[in-house]
Amino acid sequence: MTELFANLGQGFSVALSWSNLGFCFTGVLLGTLVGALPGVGPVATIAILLPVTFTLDPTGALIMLAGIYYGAQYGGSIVAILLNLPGEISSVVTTLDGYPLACQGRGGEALVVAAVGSFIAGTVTTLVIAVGAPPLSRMAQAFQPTDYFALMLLGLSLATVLARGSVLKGIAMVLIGVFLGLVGTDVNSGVLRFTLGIPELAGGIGFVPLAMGLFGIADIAINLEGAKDTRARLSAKVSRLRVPWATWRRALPAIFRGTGIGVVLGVLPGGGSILGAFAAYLFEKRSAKDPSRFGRGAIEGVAAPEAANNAGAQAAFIPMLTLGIPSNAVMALMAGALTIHGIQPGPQVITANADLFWGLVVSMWLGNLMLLVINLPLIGLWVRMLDLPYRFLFPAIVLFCCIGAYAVKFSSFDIVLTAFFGIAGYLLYKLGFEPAPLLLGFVLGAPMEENLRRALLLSRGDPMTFIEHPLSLSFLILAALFIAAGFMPRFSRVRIGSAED
Amino acid sequence: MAQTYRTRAMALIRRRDVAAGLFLLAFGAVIVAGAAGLRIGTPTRMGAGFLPLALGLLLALVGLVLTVQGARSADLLPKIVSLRPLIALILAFLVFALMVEEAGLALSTFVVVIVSGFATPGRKWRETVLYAALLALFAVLLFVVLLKLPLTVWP
Repeated sequence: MTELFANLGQGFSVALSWSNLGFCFTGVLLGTLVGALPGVGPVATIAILLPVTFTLDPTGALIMLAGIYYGAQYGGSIVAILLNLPGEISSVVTTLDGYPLACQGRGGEALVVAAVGSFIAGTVTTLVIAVGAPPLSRMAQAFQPTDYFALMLLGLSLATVLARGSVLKGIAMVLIGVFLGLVGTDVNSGVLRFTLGIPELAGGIGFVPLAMGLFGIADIAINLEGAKDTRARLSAKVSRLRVPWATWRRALPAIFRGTGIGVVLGVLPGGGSILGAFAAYLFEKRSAKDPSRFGRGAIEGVAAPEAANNAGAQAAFIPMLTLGIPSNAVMALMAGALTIHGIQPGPQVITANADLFWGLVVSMWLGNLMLLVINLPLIGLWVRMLDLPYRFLFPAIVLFCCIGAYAVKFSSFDIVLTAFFGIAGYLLYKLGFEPAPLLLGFVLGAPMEENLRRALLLSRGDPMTFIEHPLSLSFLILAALFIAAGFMPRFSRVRIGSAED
Repeated sequence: MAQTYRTRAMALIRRRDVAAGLFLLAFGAVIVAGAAGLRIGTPTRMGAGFLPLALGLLLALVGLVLTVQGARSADLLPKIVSLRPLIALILAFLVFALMVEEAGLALSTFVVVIVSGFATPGRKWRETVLYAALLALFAVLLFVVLLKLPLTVWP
C-alpha cells in the first residue's frame, strides 16, 4: 500500500510540472482532433510527430504521444456516434448502438456516457497499472505461441458472432480479412504472396486504406445513392446533454464491466483497445435481458465498449513498459520513441527509469481528466462543426481520407488502394456482408500465422499441442462456444432482428 | 425449355445470398489457385502457401453453404439506384492520387472537391467552386501549417 502511494506520489511530482502538463494537453487535444477526423489516425499522427519529439525529453515525449493515443479514442467515439463513421477501429463497435441513439435524437446522451465511461475506465486502469504491472507482466510472460494463436482465434470468433449479418457471412468476412492480412512478403520465407506484381504491395496492404475504403467511402457512396435513410441533421441528434438517471442506471454497470474486460484484453497482446471493445459489446449483448435492444440504441452498447477501449488503450502500455513487448502498432512506435532517447524498453524500465514510468502512468490519468473537462463543453462546438449539410460534409471527408491515406507512407498507391476498397465495401454492402469482422481478421492475420507456425514447429507438427496447453484449450473452447451460440436459433433470431436492411 | 432454365437461373442469382455465396466461392477458388503457386509444405514446416490454401478452401466451403442457403431464402439483392456517387468518389480519389505529388495539395484539394460535386445531381456550381477553394485553404492550413506534414502545396 505504502509502496503504491510512494509510486503514485513520484508520478504526480513528475506529471504536474508545467511542461509535462502542457505536453499532456497538447497530446489529448491533438488526439481528439485526429481521432475524430476520419482518415487521420493516432498511428499516422504519432509516426509523423516522432521526429518532433527528438528534441523533447523522453518523459514529455511519451506523455504527449500517449495523450494522442487515448485522446484519439475519445475523438473516434464522437464521429462514431454522430456520423456512423468509426474514427478508430475500436469505435466500430460504438457505431452499432451509438449511431441509432443519435438518430433518435439522443446523441448527446451517448456522447456524455461515452466520455464519462472513458474517464472512469481511465481512472480504474491507472490504478490497475500502478498496482498490478509487475504481477501482470509475469503472467503474460508465460504465454506460448499456442496460447497466442488460440487467443487470436477467440478474438476472431468474437468478431464473427458480433456481425449483424449471419454468422456464416461473418466467418467469410473474417476469412477474407485474414487472407488480406497475409498479402505481401511472407516473413518466414521472404516470398511475395498475392501481390499481383505490384511492388507497393510487398509491404502488405495498409490498414488505413483498407479501413477508410471499406468504411468511409463505401458509406458515403451508399448514403449519396439514397439507398439508406437520409441523414438527420446533426443538431437533431444532439438535442440535449443531460443524461436521465434511468440511462445512468443502465450505463454505469456496463461501464464497470467494460473496464474490466478492457483491462484484461488490453494487456494481452494483439488487442490494445480493439479486442476489448468488441468483447465488451458482445458481453453486454449476450448478458442483457433483452438482446434485441442492441443495434437499435442500447446505451450499454455505447458505455461498455467506450470504457473498454479506453481501458484497453492504457492497459496496452503495460506489456510494452514492463516487458518491452509492444502489443500493437502504437506501442511499437512508443517503444521506438524510447529507443530514440536511449532507453531500452524492457522489465528494467520500471526501476531504472522510475520517473518516466510513474510520470507517464499518472499523466495518463490527468489526460483522461482533461479530456472529460474539455470535451463535454466542446461537444456543442463539435456538433456545430460537423452539422453541415451532407453535401458539404462528404467532400471534406473524402479529402481527409485522401490525405490520410497518402500520409501514411507518402504513396499515391495507397490512395488508389483506398478507392479500390471503397468499391469493395460498396459491393459487400449490397451483398449483405458486414465489414467489421474483416477488419479484425486483417489485423490478426499475420500474427496468427506467425504463432501457428511457431506452435506447430515447437510441437513438431502435432496439432494436439493446442489442446495440451491449458490456456490455449480454454481459449479454443470459448471460441467454439461463441460460434455455436451464434448459430443457435434463439440467438440468430435476435441478431437478424437487428440486422439493417 | 431452355428459356425456363435461364430465367430460373437469373431468378436464383437475384437472391442476395446466392449472389453472395457465389462471390465467396469464386474468391475462394482464386485464393486456392494463387496458393497453388506457392510452397505448401507440411504442418510442421508450413510453407508460404499453407494458410492461404486453407483459407481459400474454407472460404469456398462457406460460399457453397451460403449459396445453398440462399437458394431457399427470399431475400433479394437490393437495387442499385445509381452508380453515380460511387463513380464520382472513385474518380475523386484517383484524381487526387495522380495530382497530389505533381500539382501540390492546394490544387489537388480544389479539383477533388469539384469532382466530388458530381456525386450529387443538381449542384450549384458557384457554391461548389467557392467551397472547393475554401477547403483547399483549410487543408493547407491544417495539414501543412499545423500538422507539419511534408506535403508540397503548389506544383
